[in-house]
Amino acid sequence: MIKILLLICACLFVLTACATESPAQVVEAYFQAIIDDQPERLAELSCAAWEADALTAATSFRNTGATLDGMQCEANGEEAGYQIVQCQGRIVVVYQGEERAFPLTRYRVIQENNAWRMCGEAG
Amino acid sequence: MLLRIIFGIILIILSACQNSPQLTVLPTLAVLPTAAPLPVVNTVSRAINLPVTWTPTDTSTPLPTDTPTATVTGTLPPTATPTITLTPSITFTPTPMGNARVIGENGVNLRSGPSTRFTPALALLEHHTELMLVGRTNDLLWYEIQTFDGRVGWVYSDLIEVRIDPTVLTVRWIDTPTPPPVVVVDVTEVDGAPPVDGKISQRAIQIYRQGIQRGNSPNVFSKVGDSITANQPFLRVFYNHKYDLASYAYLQPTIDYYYESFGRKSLAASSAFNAAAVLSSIWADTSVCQPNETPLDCEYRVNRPSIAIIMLGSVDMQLYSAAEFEGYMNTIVQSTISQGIIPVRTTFPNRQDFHWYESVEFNDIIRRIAGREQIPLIELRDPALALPDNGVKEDKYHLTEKDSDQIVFNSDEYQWGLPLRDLLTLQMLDTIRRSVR
Repeated sequence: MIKILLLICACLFVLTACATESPAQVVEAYFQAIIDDQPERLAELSCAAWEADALTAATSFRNTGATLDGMQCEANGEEAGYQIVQCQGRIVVVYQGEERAFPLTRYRVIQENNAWRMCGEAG
Repeated sequence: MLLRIIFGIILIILSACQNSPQLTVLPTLAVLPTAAPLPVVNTVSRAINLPVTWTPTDTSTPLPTDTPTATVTGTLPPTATPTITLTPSITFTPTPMGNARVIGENGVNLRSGPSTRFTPALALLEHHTELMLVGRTNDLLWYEIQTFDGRVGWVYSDLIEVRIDPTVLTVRWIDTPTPPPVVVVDVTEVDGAPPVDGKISQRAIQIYRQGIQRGNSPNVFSKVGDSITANQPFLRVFYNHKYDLASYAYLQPTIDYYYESFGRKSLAASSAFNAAAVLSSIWADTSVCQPNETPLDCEYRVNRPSIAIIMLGSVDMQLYSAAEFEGYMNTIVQSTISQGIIPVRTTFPNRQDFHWYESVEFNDIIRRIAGREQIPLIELRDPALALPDNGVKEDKYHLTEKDSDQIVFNSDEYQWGLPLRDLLTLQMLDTIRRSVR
């Protein structure tokens, strides 16, 4: 009985590891990593061409107390080989008592190394 | 046996799992963006740049004066007995005519060297005084002269009329190259000559010319910075005509030349901006800027400036490391240069009890980049620290402002940080305008 339980747990573990994030989930995770200033996570979530930009963006929000307000992303078709993700919500920074907001817009996501990766803004 | 079966199942599932992120190799983590390689400006010879930098410190050395000596050789023949003949005559002494004359309405100061640093002046030469030119500086901004009553010294070129080809004159003074170029306030200036002499580096001129060829506007500059630049009324007095230049009246043509830029709201200057933000498209104004376009590139594309007045660091030093700051500032400078725009760096002041160590380090980075790249530097920090409260407000880094919106120079820049920055920046713009014309 114990061995059967072990078998089930092992299968569940492997299946969880196999699960890939959808393009919309990747974009949401990307912005969470931006405001949390997690460079390694950003490297996982960004395509190679966008990686440096992602790290610069994370640094720009470091120690600013940035938060995500109402973020919600969903797939919105394809353009030029990219999966397009449309997001609602904004990044909010309060600087010297003044609120500054950065609205989330449309983003390009591409599959690279067998995973979806954020690859910049879409027009 | 059962354990072997379990292992087998796991292996089968793993092999079937193609998208496992755990099986992929992580991309290399780049700490800082790589600076774009420089184009042609890298090829400018250092030798060309030597004579055209200046500092507030007098490091100049005069060239040795030519003192030709004649040597008589051979044997003189015996002379005849001299005969003295007295001939009565009327002596006529014509007004001496030199190869130059003073055209400054108020005359021109005669100085012991080719700079307003040589203060006090030796004398004030009156309007229309005739002069003999005996030498020049390598940049033709100053002439060594002799008056017909025996006085010698240096005069500023804009205030005299030269009647000969000045390039035939001997270069009698070479400035010791001491980058970076620095602008200082010279309160002793009264004769209409610039309070700073010298020019921007040849490299900066080269950058400017490349930009003009690419369509940049010669009379347009951009502001790049944080809330000190964007929220405080930096340079706005010149746009709103709320200033009295006092003894800096010679700067008026520069105000006229760059007039529109003084009042323009920059896309690369905003509240809470830092060097990383300037390079991050997420901070760009989406109503104007294109997707993936950084605030810096957006500003340059829309405004097409030939000069960028950059002041960053006050916010940065509160957020991230000096090494990161240097990386981002290098990228900003290289990006600016690659677009044919002269980057003008500005040091920043702060209170001694507010990130003092970081501010010293960050300002040293600003100076180091300016020196290495031979780009202009506005040294705001040092004179600002001599002002009341170090020239900064109670928040310890925004510049102090006068209560009134009317700025009077030769006075207000000794009290508040913002008028000081306005004046220094205007002086730098004036220097650039004169250098590239």
